[in-house]
Amino acid sequence: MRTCRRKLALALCALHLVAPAAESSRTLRIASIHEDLLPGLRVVLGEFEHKTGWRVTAQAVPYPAHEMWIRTQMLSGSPPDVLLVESADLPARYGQAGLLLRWDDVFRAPNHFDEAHRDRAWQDGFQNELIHQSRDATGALWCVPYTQYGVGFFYDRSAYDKLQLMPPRTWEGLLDNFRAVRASGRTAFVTAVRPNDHQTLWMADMLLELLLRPVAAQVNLQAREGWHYDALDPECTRGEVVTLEERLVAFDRGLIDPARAPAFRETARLVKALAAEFRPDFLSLDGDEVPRVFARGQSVHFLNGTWYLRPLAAMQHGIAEIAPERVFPWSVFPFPVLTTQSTALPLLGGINQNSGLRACFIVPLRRGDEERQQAAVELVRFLTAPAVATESFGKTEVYDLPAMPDVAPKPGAEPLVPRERYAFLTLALWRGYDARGEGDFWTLWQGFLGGAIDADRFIAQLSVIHRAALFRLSQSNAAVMDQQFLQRHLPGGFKP
Amino acid sequence: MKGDDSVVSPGRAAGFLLPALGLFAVFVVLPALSALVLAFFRTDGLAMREWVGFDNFHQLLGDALFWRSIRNLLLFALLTVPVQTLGPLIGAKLLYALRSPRAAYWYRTLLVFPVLVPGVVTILVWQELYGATGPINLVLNAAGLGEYARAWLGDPATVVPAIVAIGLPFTGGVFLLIYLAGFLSIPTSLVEAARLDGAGPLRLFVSVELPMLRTQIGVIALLSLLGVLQNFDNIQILTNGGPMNASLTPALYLFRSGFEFGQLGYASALGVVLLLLCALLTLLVRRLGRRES
Repeated sequence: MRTCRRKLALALCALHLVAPAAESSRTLRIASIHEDLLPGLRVVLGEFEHKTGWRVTAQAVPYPAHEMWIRTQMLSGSPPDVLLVESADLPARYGQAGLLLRWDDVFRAPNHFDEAHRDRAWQDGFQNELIHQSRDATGALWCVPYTQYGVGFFYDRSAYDKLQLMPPRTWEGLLDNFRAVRASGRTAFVTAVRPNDHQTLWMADMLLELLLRPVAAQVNLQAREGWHYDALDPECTRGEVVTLEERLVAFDRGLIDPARAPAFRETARLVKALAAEFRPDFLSLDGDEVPRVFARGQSVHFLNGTWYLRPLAAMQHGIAEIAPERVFPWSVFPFPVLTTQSTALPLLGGINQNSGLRACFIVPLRRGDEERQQAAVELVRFLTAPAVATESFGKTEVYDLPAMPDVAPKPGAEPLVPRERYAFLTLALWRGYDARGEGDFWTLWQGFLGGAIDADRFIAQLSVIHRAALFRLSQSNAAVMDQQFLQRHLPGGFKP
Repeated sequence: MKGDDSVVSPGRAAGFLLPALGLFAVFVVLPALSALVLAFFRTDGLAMREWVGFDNFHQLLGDALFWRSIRNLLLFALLTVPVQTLGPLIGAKLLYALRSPRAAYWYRTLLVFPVLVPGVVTILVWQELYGATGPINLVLNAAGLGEYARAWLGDPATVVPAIVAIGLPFTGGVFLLIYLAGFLSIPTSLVEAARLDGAGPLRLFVSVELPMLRTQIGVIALLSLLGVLQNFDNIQILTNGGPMNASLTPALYLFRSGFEFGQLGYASALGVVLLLLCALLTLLVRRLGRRES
C-alpha cells in the first residue's frame, strides 16, 4: 500500500513538473509596467504566435511597486522574457550589471517583420532622438524605444480668457504670462522638485541641449568619417553615439563641465527666473500632487506630457460630479522658444520639444537558452514593426506618441506632437551621469531653486557631482573603454 | 506529564516551536546575517560583488550625507522622545483620575481608536494640513498671522518639527494603554497611605505614581527611541528626506543607497552601524533604568 502511494505521489509530481514545462517551452512571458499599453499588445500577440509558433502571455506589473518587482525577478534568475519599462535609467542599471541584452548590434540588421522596409536597418525605423535618449551615459543601448512623451504647458483657458492672455511663443512671453497671472492673485505655475517629478529637469535638459549645440562637434570626437553637425537637420546625428570616453575628454576640456561651460550657468539662470513664479510650496509638493493641484484649479499652468491628457480628463470628470462649477476648460501649448532677447549665448536652431523616451523594451539575458532569447528579440521586433504597432496603438487609450515615426499618434495628442525637430545629441545630462550623482543633484537643485544657495555655489557643486559620476563610470567601465583614444586625448587620465 | 508540572514535554515543545523558529531564521535572521556579510563587499545587489573589507565603513565616516542624517536623527530624537513619553503619560493620568467608569470607558475608546487608522492615512491627512493652502495656513491667515504661514514641509527650518508634530497631541495610542496598565497596578493601599499622610494630587503623582511607573516610562522611552532610529515610512511619504536633506534619516539614507543608488554593500554597512546604534542605546536605557531602580 505504502509503495503504491509513493508511486502515485511520484507520478503526480512528475506530471506537475513536466506538463507546465512542456507548455512553457514555447511560451514567452512579457510584463509591462504600463498597464494601459497591455490591451493593445494583447491584440497582436496571437499574430506573433501564428507567425513564429511562440505563444506569449502578457502580464501587468503595478507601477508603484515595479522597481522592486523587477529586482526580485532579476535576482530570482527567471524574469519575464521581455519587459516593457519606463525611461532608460532602469535598463542602464541592469544592463551595466550584465543582466540585459545589449541592442547595438541587433539594431543594425533589418526588422524582417517590417515588410514595407525590408532593407532598412531596424534602428532607422525609430525617431533618431529617442535612440540617443535610450542610451546610457556610456553610450550603450540596453532598451528598445516604444513610446515617447511630448511635453507642453497645460493651462487654464478660462483664466487666459479672463486675463486676455494668449499662449506664449517665446520664453519672455511665458514669463510675462506667468507674471500677469500672479498679479491677478492666482498661482501661475505648479511644480514639484523631487526625483519623482522631473518637470524642472525637463526644462533644464531642453535648454541645455539647445545651448550646448555649438560644442557638439568638439564633443563627438569619434564621429564617422566626414560627419558634419547641422543643428537644423534632425537626421544628421543618426548613427552617432556619444561615448563615455568622449564625455571624459569633453569634461576635461571644459566643454561639458558645469563650472566652465557657459551653457550650464545660462540654463540655471533661465530656470531660476521661472522659479520666481512657482507655487511657493513647491519644495514640499510631491510629483503626484502636481496634476491634482492643476485639476482643482489651484494653478493656471503645469508642465507635463502626453500621458496626462487622459488622467487629467478623468480627474476633471471626477470633480464635475462633485462640484461642476470648478471644472474649467484647458489646453496645451508647446515649450516656448529662446530668442536673442532670452540669452546672449549663440543659438543653433530651436528648442527640441523634449520628446523623451517613455516606454521601452528590455530583454533579460538568458545564458544557455539562446532559442528563447532569440524568440524574445523576435517579439520586440514584431511589436515595433510599424504595421503591428499601428494596430496595437489603435486599441489603446494611450496618448503617448509612438517611438516609430511610421506609426501615427492618437487623435487628440496633436498639441503635444513636436512640430519642429533639430539635431539631437545627448552631450551632457543636467542631473549627472549615475544614480548616486542624481541623488546628490536633487538636493542641490532644491537648494538652488529654493533660494538656499546661489548660482555660483550651485554651478561649482554641479561640476563636482558631474565629475564624480564620470569618474565612477570610468572606473567601472575601465575594461571596455577605448584606452588608445583616452591615451591620445586624455594622457593624464581623468581625475576624481 | 507523569508528575511533571509542564503541559508538554520539552521535546514536544521544541517540535511546536520549530516551524516558527524556522520561519524566523529564514525571514529575519538570515537576511540580517547576509546584510552583515554584504557590508564588506562592494555590490549593487545584482551582479557585481567585490570584497572591500572595511572600506564601506571608512567611506561612511567621511560621508557628509551620513553625518547630516545622524544630525537629523538626533534632532528627531530630541523632539520625539519627550513628547511621545510624556504625552501618553498625561493622557493616562487624566483617564485614571476619572471617577466615572462609564466616562473612563468612552475616553479610553476614543483615545485608543486612532490606532486603528492606518499610518499612511494619518500621514496623508497631515500632508493636506501642511499644504500651502491647507487648513493650518488658512487658520493663520484668518487670524491675521499670515506672516507665519509657510510651506511647512518645504522649509528646512520647519520640516523636522512638522514631521514630529504628526500625532499631536500624543496622548493616545498603545503607549497610553501601557501607562494605564501601570496606573492600575499601583496598590491602592499605597495611594491611600499617601493621601492619609496629606499628599495632594500633585505630590501623589510626583512622589508615588511616577516612581511606580518607572518601568513603563523606561520601556516607552526606549520604544520611542527605537521608532525614531527606524523612522522611514512617514518621512519617505512626506518629504523623501528633503528639502535639501533636512529630513533625511539614516534609515532613509540606507534605503536610497541600496535601492536608488545601487550601493547595496554601502547600505548594508549603514545598516550594521544603525543596528549597533540601536543595541547601544537599548543597553544604555536599560542600564539607566536599572540604576534608577
